[in-house]
Amino acid sequence: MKNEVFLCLALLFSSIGLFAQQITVEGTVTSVMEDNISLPGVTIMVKGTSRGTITDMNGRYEINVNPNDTLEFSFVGMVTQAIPVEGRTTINVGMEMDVASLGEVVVVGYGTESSRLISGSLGVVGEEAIRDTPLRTVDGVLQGRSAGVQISQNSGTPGAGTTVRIRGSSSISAGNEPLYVIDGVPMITGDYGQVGFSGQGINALSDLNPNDIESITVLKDASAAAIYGARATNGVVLITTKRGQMDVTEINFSTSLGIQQLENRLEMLNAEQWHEYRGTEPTEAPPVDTDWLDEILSPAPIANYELSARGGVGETRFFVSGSYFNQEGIVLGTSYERLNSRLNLDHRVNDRLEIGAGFGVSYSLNNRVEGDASLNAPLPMAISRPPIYPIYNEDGTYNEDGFYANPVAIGNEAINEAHSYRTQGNAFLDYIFLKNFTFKTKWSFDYLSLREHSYDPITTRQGARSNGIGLEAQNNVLNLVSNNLLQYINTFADAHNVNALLGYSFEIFQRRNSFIRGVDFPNENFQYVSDAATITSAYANALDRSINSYFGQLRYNYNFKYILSLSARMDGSSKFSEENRYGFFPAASVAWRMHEEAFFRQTFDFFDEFRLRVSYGLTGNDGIPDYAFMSLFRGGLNYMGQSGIAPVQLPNPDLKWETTTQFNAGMNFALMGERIDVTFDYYNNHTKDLLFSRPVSITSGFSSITSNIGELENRGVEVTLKTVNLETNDFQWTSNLNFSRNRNKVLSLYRDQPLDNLGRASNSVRVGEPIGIFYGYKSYGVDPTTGDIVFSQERMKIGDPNPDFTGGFTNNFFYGPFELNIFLQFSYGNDIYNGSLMFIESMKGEDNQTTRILDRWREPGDITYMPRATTADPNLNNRISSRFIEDGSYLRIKNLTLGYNLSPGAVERIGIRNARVYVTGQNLLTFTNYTGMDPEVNYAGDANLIRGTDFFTYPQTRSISVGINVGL
Amino acid sequence: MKKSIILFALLIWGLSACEDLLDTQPYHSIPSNEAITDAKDVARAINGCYSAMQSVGYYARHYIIFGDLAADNLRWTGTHDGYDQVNNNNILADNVYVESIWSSIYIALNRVNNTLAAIPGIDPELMDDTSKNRAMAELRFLRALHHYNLMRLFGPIPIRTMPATAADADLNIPRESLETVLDQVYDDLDYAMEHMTEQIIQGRASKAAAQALKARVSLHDYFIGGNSSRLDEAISHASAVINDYGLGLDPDFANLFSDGGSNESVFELAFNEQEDNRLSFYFFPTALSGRYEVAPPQEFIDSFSEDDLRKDVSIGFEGDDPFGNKYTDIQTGTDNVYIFRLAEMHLIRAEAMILKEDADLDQIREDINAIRERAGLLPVTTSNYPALLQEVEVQRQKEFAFEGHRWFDLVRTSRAIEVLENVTSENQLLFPIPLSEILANDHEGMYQNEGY
Repeated sequence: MKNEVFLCLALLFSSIGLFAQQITVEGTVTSVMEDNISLPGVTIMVKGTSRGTITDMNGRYEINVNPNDTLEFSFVGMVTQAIPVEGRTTINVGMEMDVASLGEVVVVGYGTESSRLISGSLGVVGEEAIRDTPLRTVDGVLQGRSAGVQISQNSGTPGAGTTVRIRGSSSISAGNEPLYVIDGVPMITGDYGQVGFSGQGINALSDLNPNDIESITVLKDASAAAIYGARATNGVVLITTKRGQMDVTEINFSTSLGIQQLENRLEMLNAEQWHEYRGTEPTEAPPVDTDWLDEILSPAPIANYELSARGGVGETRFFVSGSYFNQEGIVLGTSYERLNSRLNLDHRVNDRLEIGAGFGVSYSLNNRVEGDASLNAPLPMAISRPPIYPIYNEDGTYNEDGFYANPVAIGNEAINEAHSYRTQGNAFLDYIFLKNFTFKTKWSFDYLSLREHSYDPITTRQGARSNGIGLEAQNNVLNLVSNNLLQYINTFADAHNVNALLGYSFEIFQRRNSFIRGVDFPNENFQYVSDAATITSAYANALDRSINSYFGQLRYNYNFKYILSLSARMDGSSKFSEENRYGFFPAASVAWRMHEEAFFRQTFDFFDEFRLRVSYGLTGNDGIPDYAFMSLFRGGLNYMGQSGIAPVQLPNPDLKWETTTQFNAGMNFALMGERIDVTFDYYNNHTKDLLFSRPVSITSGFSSITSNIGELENRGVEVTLKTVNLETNDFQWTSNLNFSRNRNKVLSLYRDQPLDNLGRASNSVRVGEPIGIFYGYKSYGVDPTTGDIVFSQERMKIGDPNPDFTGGFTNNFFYGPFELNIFLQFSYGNDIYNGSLMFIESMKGEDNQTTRILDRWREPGDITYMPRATTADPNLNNRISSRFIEDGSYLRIKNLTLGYNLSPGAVERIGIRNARVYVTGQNLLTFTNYTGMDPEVNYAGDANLIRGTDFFTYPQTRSISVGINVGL
Repeated sequence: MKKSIILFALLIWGLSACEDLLDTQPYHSIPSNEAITDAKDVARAINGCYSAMQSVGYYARHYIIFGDLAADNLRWTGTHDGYDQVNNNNILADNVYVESIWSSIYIALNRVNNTLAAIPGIDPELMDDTSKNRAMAELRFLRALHHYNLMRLFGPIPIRTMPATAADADLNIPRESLETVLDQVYDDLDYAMEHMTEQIIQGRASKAAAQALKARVSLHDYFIGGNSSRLDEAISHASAVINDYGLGLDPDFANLFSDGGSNESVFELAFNEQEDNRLSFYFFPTALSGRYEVAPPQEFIDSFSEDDLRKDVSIGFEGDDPFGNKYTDIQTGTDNVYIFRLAEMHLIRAEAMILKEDADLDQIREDINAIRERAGLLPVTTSNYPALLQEVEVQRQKEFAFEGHRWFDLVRTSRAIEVLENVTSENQLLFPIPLSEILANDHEGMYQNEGY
């Protein structure tokens, strides 16, 4: 089917020289499914030769053959048939649909679909990408694997959160994180920690064990995602866990052990350099010279153990797994460990009824240290504390001289534990109550109990101030979901394939949290608040929220050639007033599999697949605070121990959904026997009614009001290129390149007033610019006469944290039992505001400085990039300016794995189905001009607008692990 | 077959009848129109008004510290660049601490106005007129205090006397002239003095506080408008506070900053473990677990004479590091903050009389010496008005160190440029209107101060 031009030529020549004993066979080739309509363009080959022909417009063919030849009939999407001639002169053939040629089945919203029949835009990550990642988190697995899905680790804190952006930021103040749906049910995500950790938040998504996952589908455009309605604007991540299989029980054991270390450390002044910079002399001999970073950073182990079994007996199938993951942090006092277990059960009661259930439980313990901006965090203290102080005083106590606290004391003595207890469960029933009609109902719960225990003993500086500080926080979150679907699947006239769905769903979300803080403990052996002399703060809060949804979907295709998909959802949310409670989110898409058309095949016969797709639809975003539409007084504003009340907010009864109109046009094509497979998408998403806490005159007593103001757009292209570069008997090289480019632009704001001064880098939101640009003074360098920086008169755009393009590039090599996998991740054109430099290159006080300040201006005439040291800093050299902006582009060897599959013959003798050993490296090498510790950074966690800013952030680590997978 | 379709259709319909699912209610707040309906609610709302004054932008930190940091009683020794700007009197319009002051005071004003607006509509059965008037008087005093506190830092300011609504016309309002602001302050104070309780309750404002504010504002007004009748008002209200409420200077200066409850206190804002301030944290050196953001400069320390008892009370030493020592509860941050204490009334009266060139020099010297003698200093004897005026300035600087007066004194008397090294231009006498206000408020009458 691929070389038809060739074949025609060959046919011409070869037929000339042929003679005698041949017979002429003729006939018509038809399609069985389409009322036996004739099929033009079917390839007919004489088996074992290069002779052949193709059918004409009427599906007819004629060919000269030997009577004992065999003819092979092939056509894209149809099962190839080999028919012996056996002396016949007429052979009519009916071709049947080859279901396998429609590609693998992928999970889509409320169902599954063959990948080649998809008319929207989605990305799929399979099990193989998950297998070797030493970082055991779901979002870590997704990173760099799918075009248009930009995932950045906010920090290297074990168990920490990530920022996930699907096709850019669609919102200014509402959420920008996608909706996560596990086994058909939206799950609890986000940070429920109550103990402040400034950016080093935890993430409910971390409770999931990636090895339980069969596949992840990312729904990117409206036609794929709009079925999730009001929460679909930021895309939807569908996670499907593994289920049992029939008859054979497989047991898998895998383990990996590794070591992590800092990839890139900061070069700080030593004591001698510090004294020179400060103009002081050491007071002791020999002078104290403490390398604080060395004291709190050390290589740390990471380990993972997993055991799972999947199988089935009779009509019952199961998947069961257990795992233990343990990661020590490279910063003193940090670690993360997690225990997971999952059980998925399916049972077929009879031909009509199938029931099942799934349960996942997990426990994790995250030992954290305060981060980033905190004066009680080891890393910022280790960077900033001058080397002239010793770790310990002569009496063995921690030395606490100087402005910055002793980081070793914090790392060793302070306790910050987050215990997460998570249970997810669901039960379902699928009942075929009429031919073609199925009723499906699924009820589920997701329960997260997060307990935080924090204690600063008197041996830390913070603890000393209050004679010990203890905190206890409890957060219980419950999400109940009910999905009820009525599905109709039928095929009419063998050509019209219909899959229709009607559904009703509701969700109830409840959060109860409490917090208590006490100070003044008898001594460091007492850690819990009962032993505190004074309770300084205590609260308990409650929040209920609910969503009520009706939805429907129609997927239709004509003979797998013309595809139409319609969907709509009506969502009601308690976040909006009764008048604006419901939002309607329709979407439509069409696709045309052109290679199924005879005229197309006659001209472009080298395509194995050629599909055009267009989709258009609306999605919503409800990520705003609850009850923002109401005029409310709240309590808790007490005075002299007596309760007090006060107004909370400027009410906005007109508040409604943020809606995004999404347009997507794309194509898929495959060439050369599917050795080249290309997906291309263009999208233009226009968000209006931006939910926006718009600033108001503060004289009103409020700084903002939540309103629907403003518009923005995200436009972009995504390309995914999968190739088989080399393929011989024992060697294979495959590549997967994904590339995306997103252009974000704010189109309008409230009165087009910019949002300014956000975060430490002065991120700004301005009309005509992408979200979160850096806005400040432009630095023109150091004036050689004064040593001060020459700044622009006015503030201006000085940088942009949004990358020009991002992507991932995977190469797999298979040679005999060896496999090598190299995964590169890149981001280009994004700026980073290196906020740490405002302190560590401030040259103002006793803060330790980077060695770059040795290049500073010292006397008139010096030409240098580093201004003078000045305590008073009358020129404000340290103001927010382009001085601290750096290019954040990077290319990172995210993962490199070398695996060896033990020969099946050898292992089978000892009863093992398969065995594989591997060594894998994470973040092995990063190519970047960024001078900070890690270009993948955001101190403010997943904040919408505060972006691309480094502020003493815990960097990601380089790790090397060895592992083994054994199958029984 | 048809039956089962209908059955399932009904089932789905039945499930979807969970419409009331969406009628969830907040647990921690109540609709505004139900919030203030009786005397008890008013009391709760007034607590909310005082609570607003405990914010870090206001009496819990910035407003207090900047009163000394912008002048020569404190210098910057910490890490906040925004504090550095105030220290250098080179403040950028986007200074977050200045914005915090602005927003904290307007939040306080809004709470006052919301409560004031609700009181007249309360059923007389549930709150009688006397109680209403008394509550409104207390609230109007607070409103006068907030407007005046804004005015003396920022100059002309928008006046708020009604709760703001989301309507644009209501949100964006212009700055009003100093005269208009002062008229509003006087109007509120006159009502307050007529109806407020005369009983002094620690932590709460009473008529004495209203009179003290009237004295303070009147003296300031004299410098603004040059109207000498303002001096008479300052004198009479200061005298009233001194004479009418049974207050007296605390014999022991140190006692003022120990456990509170001094008989000298006219009005102080109370703090406790749950409603704490972090003043001591900002003043205390790191060895005492503070962050040492600000510290008294050497010249100020040296300006105290050997005998001045206030020096050791006000300034502590940790090794060689001097620190402000009037707020000492580093552990739980419960130090109360004086808004008015009697010493100020003596110095206001003395200053006003000097400015009037009042012949009663004995009275003037008596007021000054009351402060001096308590501090362990010898009495002044001079009859020279300029010398006495200078003495008042000096006494105010030392007496109220770290209580947030010094900057306002030097601005009021137009002495800032002369005294403060960093202040070279009139423009620096007013703080910038926060950039966020300039951006959000597009009324043509909202403009930035000169030089920012």
